[in-house]
Order: sequence, then C-alpha cells, then structure tokens
Amino acid sequence: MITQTYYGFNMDNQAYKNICDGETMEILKERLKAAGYTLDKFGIYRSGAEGYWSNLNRDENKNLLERLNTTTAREALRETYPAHENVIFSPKRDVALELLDIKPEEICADYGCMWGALSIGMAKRGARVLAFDQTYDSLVFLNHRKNDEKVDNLILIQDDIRNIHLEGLFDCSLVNGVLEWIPEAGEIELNKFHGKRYKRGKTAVSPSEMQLLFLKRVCGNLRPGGRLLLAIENRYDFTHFIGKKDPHAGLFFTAFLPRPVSNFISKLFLNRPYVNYIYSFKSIEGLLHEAGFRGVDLYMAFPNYHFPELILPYNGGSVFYEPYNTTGFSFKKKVATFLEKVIIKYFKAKMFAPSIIAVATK
Amino acid sequence: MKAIIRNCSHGSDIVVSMILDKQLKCDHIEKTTATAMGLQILENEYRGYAWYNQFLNKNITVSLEENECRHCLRLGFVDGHCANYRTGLLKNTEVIKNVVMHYCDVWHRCDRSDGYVCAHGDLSLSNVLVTRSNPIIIDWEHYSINILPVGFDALYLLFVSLYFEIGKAGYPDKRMLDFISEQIAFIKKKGCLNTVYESDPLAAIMQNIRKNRVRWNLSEGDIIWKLPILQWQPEIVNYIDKELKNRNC
Repeated sequence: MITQTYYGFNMDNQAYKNICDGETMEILKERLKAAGYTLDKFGIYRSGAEGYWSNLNRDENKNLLERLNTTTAREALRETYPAHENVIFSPKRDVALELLDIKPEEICADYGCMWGALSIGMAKRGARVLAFDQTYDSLVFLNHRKNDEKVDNLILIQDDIRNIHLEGLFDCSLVNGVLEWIPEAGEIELNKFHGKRYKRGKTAVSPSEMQLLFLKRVCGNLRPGGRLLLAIENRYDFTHFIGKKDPHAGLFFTAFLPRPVSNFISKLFLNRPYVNYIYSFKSIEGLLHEAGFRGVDLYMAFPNYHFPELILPYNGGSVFYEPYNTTGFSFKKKVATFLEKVIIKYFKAKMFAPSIIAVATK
Repeated sequence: MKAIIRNCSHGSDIVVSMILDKQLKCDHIEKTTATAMGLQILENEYRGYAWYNQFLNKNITVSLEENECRHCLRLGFVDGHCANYRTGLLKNTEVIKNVVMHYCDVWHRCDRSDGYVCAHGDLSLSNVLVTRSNPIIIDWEHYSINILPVGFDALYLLFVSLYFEIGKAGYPDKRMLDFISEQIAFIKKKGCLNTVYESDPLAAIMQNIRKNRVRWNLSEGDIIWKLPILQWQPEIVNYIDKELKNRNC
C-alpha cells in the first residue's frame, strides 16, 4: 500500500519506516548536543557561529521565507524566484552521489548544504544525513522542504563548516561546489558579489592553505575507510580559454592564469584579492592526498558538475564520451558542447574537461 | 569504477551507469532510480527483456533489485556497437535491413493471433546493438503488451531513420522511399504487418503513438523530442504515405 510521500514520490510504509529508523537519528542528535550544538524552535541545531552565503540577498531570502508560512517550499520558490527551482529540485542535481554507493543507514555529512539539493538526495538513498551550512535562511528553507517531503533522516546544523569537530563520525562526506568558497570569509550575497567591486582585505592564511585545512578537517570527521565526494570546476576547463569568465570572480582568464597574476587582476578590477582557487585534476588529487586521503578516483563531469549529463572516469573515460541532449542550451553553449566533443572524444584532452568530481577514501 | 552515461534523460528519474572493471572495460550496465515512478519503468523494462529473451539464442542477463530506497536493473554487457542513428536512413541501410529481418524473426514467433503484439515502443537505431551475429534490441523501458499492432516497431524504425535523414521539414527522395517500400513489403511478406498499416503506414503509426501516449510516460513536449516523427507536418506525412501507396506496399 502506498501511503508516504518521500522526495516527492509515493513509497510504501515499510520502506519509509526503515529509512527513518529513529534510533540512529537519536544517537546522532545526542552526539550533536554533546558537541555543544543547541536545538532551536525550527528544529535546526546551532553552534553560535553564523555567516551568510546565498544566491539570494537578505531581502529576497526574507521574502521567500515569508511565503513559506502559507505554502510548500517548492511552491514558495516557484512564486518568488522560479529561476532557482531547478537548482534546488531537479533530480539531475544529485547524480554524482551514485559514485559514493551510499548504503542505507550510513551517516553522511553535507558541508555547505545550502538549500539541500544533495542533502535530500543522500537522505533519499537511505543515509542519515547531517547537513551543515552557515546561512540560517537557507536552513530554514531546507527545513520546510524536509517537512513537506517528510524526510526524517536529515538533521540541519548551522555552523562554520571550516570548524566542525565530529571526529570519526561519518561514513561519507560531500563537498559540492564549496571548496573554492572556503577562503571567502564574511558575508556573500552572490548577486552583489559575482564580478562586482567588493572591498575585501587580505586573508591571514593563503587561500590554498585554508582549503587544505578544511579538507584535513573533513578527513578527520570521516571514519577510517570513509569516502568523500568533492565537486569543483576545473581550472583548465577549455571554455575558460575561449571567453568564459571565471565562474567565481567573474573575470576573464583568472581561473587559469598564474595566481599572482589573477590576484593582481582581481585587485585592479574588483578591489579584492583573488581567493576562489579552483584546481586541475592533478592538483586536486595532490591536495586530497595531502589532506590525508589514501585513494582518490577522479571523474570528469559534463557539461558541469551542477547538472551533469555525463560523469566519466578521468583515466580512460574519454572513450565513453557520447553527445548528450542539448535542448534548451543557448547557441554559445551548443558551440561549446561541440568543441567539448572534439576535445574530449577525439583528442582525448581530458585535462580540459569542464568539471572535476573526486571520490577520495580515508 | 563507474561511468554515468545518462542522467534522468527525457524527464525520467533513471540514471544509467556502466560498471567498469580494472581495465576500464564494461562489466555490466546499471539503471538506478530512487523513486516509485522510476521503479515502474525499470519493472517494465525488466518485463520487456524477459519477453525478448525467449526469442534469443543467447540470453541477455537481466536482474532487478528492489531495495528500500534505491532500485537497480542490472544488465549483462553485450559486446556490440550502436549505429550512428543521426546519419539517417541511407547510410544505415544494411543495419536497418538486419534489424527488420531480426524483427520479423522474433515477432513472427510470438502470438499475433489478434493482430496485436508485445512491442518495444522505441525501436530506433540508438536502441539497437550491432553484434557479430544478430542485432540486439536494448532499452525496453517502453515495452507494452498487446497494445500496439504487429509491425509497429519495424515501421517506427524505418520512419525515425528517415526523420534523421530529412529532418522535420524535408521530403524524402526516390531512393529513400524505394528502400522503405521494399522493407515494408518484406515485413508484410513475413506476416508481421497488421492490416491497419497497409494503406497509410506513417499516419497510422503517428495515430498509435498519440493514442497511447501514456505508454511512453512522456509529456507533450518530451514526446516530440523522444519520438521525433511527430514533428512532421500533415503535408509531409500525406506525401510519404501517398508515395508508399504508389509503390504498392
């Protein structure tokens, strides 16, 4: 008998009950309390550390959250900022989780979960998920979505993700589109930040060191044999060479130019240092090893890691490249997809693939 | 390692992965889903393979694993390659002939007593593996039982290949029409063509698709992309059917 709605679809009672086995969840909640987190009235655990990173500015978020009082999370978003609906709700978003082979009852962490597109994806695979983010508004939205879809195996935590100490707790961790933002301290309203002048001082520690420290922390929070899935843009994505702007700074060529040069360009045009470091396949592998991970499997994601159509092994995976559906792509994107096919399928120039997905084992 | 080769394509909730061995050779294919809707499709595909396997000398290994949260259809790897369906009809005539022969060989052996048969539902060159022996039909997610008239899949293969040859606004030339006409005559001779397809085969095929749209689990927009012959305007459909009629097929 189909009676429960889960991830927007119906499933039978027993299957749902098995997922939400309360015992492990209670143990996790106790562990959080012992680590100093307090539960607030919205059911979000808080450490006291706060921050703001969102695609929406504060007023927009306020508007969205007000709508949640009268309707579901999805409807509220559709009514206010429909352009973001796919970003949060598209089933394509969480496909990379297939690489993690998440087993029911595993304990997973989503670092920088934002609106929870992938946290929900992990939960629907049966894992007990702890989703961390610094932005309270995003967590309130995710909490509504969680309640709408009756997802009980997901715990939301507001904290600074650079500073989470839950040693050896997790079987799997997810760092999806987060590593490059680690060096950015302070508040970010993305629509006021991307490609705009925005004064920032120099950080005390270099961006790459901050990223390494963060990955060491992530590694420390995994149990031995635990897996990390990390997704990030490729520094040498071929489109950066043919006029696509740096995905974070919004400047031409800064993604792949030597970092001191990018830093100079960023200070000149944006009045802030260049800190959103992204990596090549080889350098991300090196960084993960340095952070304490033993094995690293690299994958190429096409056309990007946000909405991947293809995810192929970095070594030897080019032979499996097949053209994918480009319906809805702009003319520029279609041209880029054609070039991608030539570069990857025929020239096997895998180092120029658009995005990197790494599965690292502790 | 895995290679993810389809991600929820055509609005489905199904992810298709190739499971690779250490030499990066495909060991088997996995189709996975976490939704009830996706599971229905996988179950249907499983039934399709089970039906098709009855007629094959060497079975395709297929198993369906239904877990609490994630469902997985595992398919044994078949060593073969797909013809390039985008190149259309004339560059693929040999492959198409072989598939039509294979169709007749399989469907000739199944129960056709009332003119309706089990059908693949999306038999295009992209869903055929060319192997050293017979072509192998794959991707049975639109499998149906006794809903479509015998001949549907073979005719659909011919017309969809023609679509990729001429596009949505072009008209076929004599060579294309002659080839299709020959193939239809062959299907008829083998007793695998329902009489509904004898006078206006293309119009009848399109009518079958529209009438049974629910079988494809696709929205109006998606179905046109997935089953592109629906993009042909009535004047092109009439022209093709008229030319085929003139060739007495």
